[in-house]
Amino acid sequence: MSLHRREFIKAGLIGGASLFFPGPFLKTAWGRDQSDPHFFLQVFFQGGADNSYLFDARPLEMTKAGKMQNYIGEEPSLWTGVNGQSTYATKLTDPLKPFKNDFSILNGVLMAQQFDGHDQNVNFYFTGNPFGGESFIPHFNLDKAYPVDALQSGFLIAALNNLGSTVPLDVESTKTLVGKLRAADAIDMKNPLTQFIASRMIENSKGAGRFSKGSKNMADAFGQGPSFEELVKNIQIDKDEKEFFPVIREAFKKGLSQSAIISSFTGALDAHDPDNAKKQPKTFEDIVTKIATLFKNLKETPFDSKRSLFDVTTVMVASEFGRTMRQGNKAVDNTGTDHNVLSNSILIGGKGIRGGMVWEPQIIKKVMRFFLALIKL
Amino acid sequence: MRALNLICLIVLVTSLGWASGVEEFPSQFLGYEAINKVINDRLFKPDSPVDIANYLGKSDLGDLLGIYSGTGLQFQFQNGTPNATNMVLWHLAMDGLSKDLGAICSIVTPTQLREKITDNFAGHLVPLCSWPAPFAKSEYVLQNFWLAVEGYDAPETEYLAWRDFFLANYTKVAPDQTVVAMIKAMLLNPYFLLRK
Repeated sequence: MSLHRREFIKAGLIGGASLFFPGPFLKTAWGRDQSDPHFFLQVFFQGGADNSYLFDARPLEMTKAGKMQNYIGEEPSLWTGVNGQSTYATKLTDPLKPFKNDFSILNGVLMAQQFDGHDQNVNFYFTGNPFGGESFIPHFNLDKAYPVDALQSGFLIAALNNLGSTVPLDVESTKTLVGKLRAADAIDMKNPLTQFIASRMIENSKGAGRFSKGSKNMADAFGQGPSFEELVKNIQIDKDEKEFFPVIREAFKKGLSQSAIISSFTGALDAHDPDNAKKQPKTFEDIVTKIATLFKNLKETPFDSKRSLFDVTTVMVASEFGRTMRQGNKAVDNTGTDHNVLSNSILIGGKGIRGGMVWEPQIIKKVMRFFLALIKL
Repeated sequence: MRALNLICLIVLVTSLGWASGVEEFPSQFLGYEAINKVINDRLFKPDSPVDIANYLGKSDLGDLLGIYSGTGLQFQFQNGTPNATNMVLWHLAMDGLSKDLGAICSIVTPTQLREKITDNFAGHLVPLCSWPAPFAKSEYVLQNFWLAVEGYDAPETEYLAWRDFFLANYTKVAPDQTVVAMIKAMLLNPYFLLRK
C-alpha cells in the first residue's frame, strides 16, 4: 500500500502532536473537574503569518541564490528542542528564549490543501472544515462548567456556528460592564416581577420549533443572570488598564470563562506586495514581543497559592497558514509572499503540553537539503 | 424509463426525509438595531430618538445584543444567541428604559422623556398614571397600553398573562413603579426580543 506524501505528513503530525500530551491529559475532560482547572488560550494572527521570520527560517544561502526572500538579511541560528530535533530560528525569536522550555514548536502543519483563501483556512483551523462549522473551543465547555465558553478580543473572520456563548469583550467593554452591573439593580429571582418575566420565557419554550428553542435559551440565560452578575461584579481591572490580559486573568481566576481567544487582524501579515513584505521584520518583532509578554504575564500571575496561570492554561499561538518563499517568480529582493497552506507553524505550551520540543516533518529538512544541494550544483 | 422514475422518486423521498430531519437552529435575538428601531417607531418622536445602547454605557456593549458584522461571505448576524452575557445586558437596557418611561408618571422625579414620546404612546401611558384607579385597570386602558408597546408581535395569551399578573399583584403599588414593571415585562418578553 502506498501512502501519499501529504497523507504521510498529516499522519505524522497527528502522531507527533500526541507525543506532547502526557497520558492523564488525554483522560481528563476539560473543565469537568473543578479541583483541577484547565483553561485554554488561543492566540490567532489572522492574515497568514510568514513563519520563516520565526521558527521555520531558511539559511541565507537560499536568499543569495535567489530562491527566497529574507528582509532580515541575517543568518538564522539553530533552535534545538529537548527531543533532539531542531529548526532554524531568526534573531527575532530572541525574546522567546527565556520561555524555551515552556512551549513546543510544530512546523509543517498542513492546512486546507484544496483552498488557499484566508476564510477557508481560518475555518479549517477552528473546525477542520474549510466551509466552517463548529469551532473546537466551545467544546471544552460542553458541560457548561463556566457561564461563558470563551471571551474573545479582536475580530475573527470565520463561519463558526457554535459561538452562542463566546463573547467578544475588550478591556474597555469589560470595565464598563463591571461598573454598570455594580451600579444597577441585580436580577432578583425572588422578585415576583422577575419570576413573571422568567415564566413567560419558560412557558414559550414548551414547543418544538425554533421560537420555543430560542425561548428556552433565553430562559436558561436569564436564569444564569444572577450568578453571572456576581461573577462579573468581582472582576478587578484597573481603570487605566488598556491590555486584554487582565480580562483573561480575571475571567479564568473568577470562573467566568473556560477559554479566551486573542485574535489579531491588521492586514500587515498578508504581505503580497514587496513594500509590506519589507516591513515584516518589524511586524514580527511586535508579534514576538506580544507573545513573550503573554508568556511572562501567565507565568508571573498566580492562579492560586501553588500554581501560576500558566500552570492551568494551555496556550496555542497560530495563524491560518504560512507563506511562500516569494510571490511567483519575482526577484527575492523585491517580492512579497503568497499563501502557503502546506507549511503552517504552531506554538503550543502550558498545561498538558510538554514544552521545549521541536517537531517538524522530516520532509521539510529533505526539501531544504535538496534546495541547498541544487544551489551548490 | 420506469426504473429511472423509481430512482428519482427514491432520491426525492430520501432527500425530503433528510430535510425534515435537519435540526432547526433556535431563534436568536432580533438584535440591537432592530429592537432599537421598534422601540423608537412605537414610543418616540422621530426627531427625538433614544438609543438603548446608552443604557449600557459608552462602550461596544450594544454589539453584544446582536449585530450584523463581518466581511464578504462571512458577513453574518453575531452575538444573537441568548447567553448569560447578552441576557444580562438586555435586562440592563430594558430596566433603564422602563425606569425612564415610568418616571413620566412620577411627580417626584420628572423625566425629560415626556417630551420625547409620541402623542399616541403618551395617550396610552398617561391613564396608567392614575393606577390603581378603576379606569387605569380597565381592559380598554391595559389592552391599548399593551398594543402600544408590544404591537401584534405576541399572541393574545401573552397579553392575558401580563394583564392578570398586574391586576393580581400590583393593586397596592404606586403608579410609576407599576408602569416601570409593566413596560419591563413587555420589553423582556421573548415575543418582543426574539425572531419569530
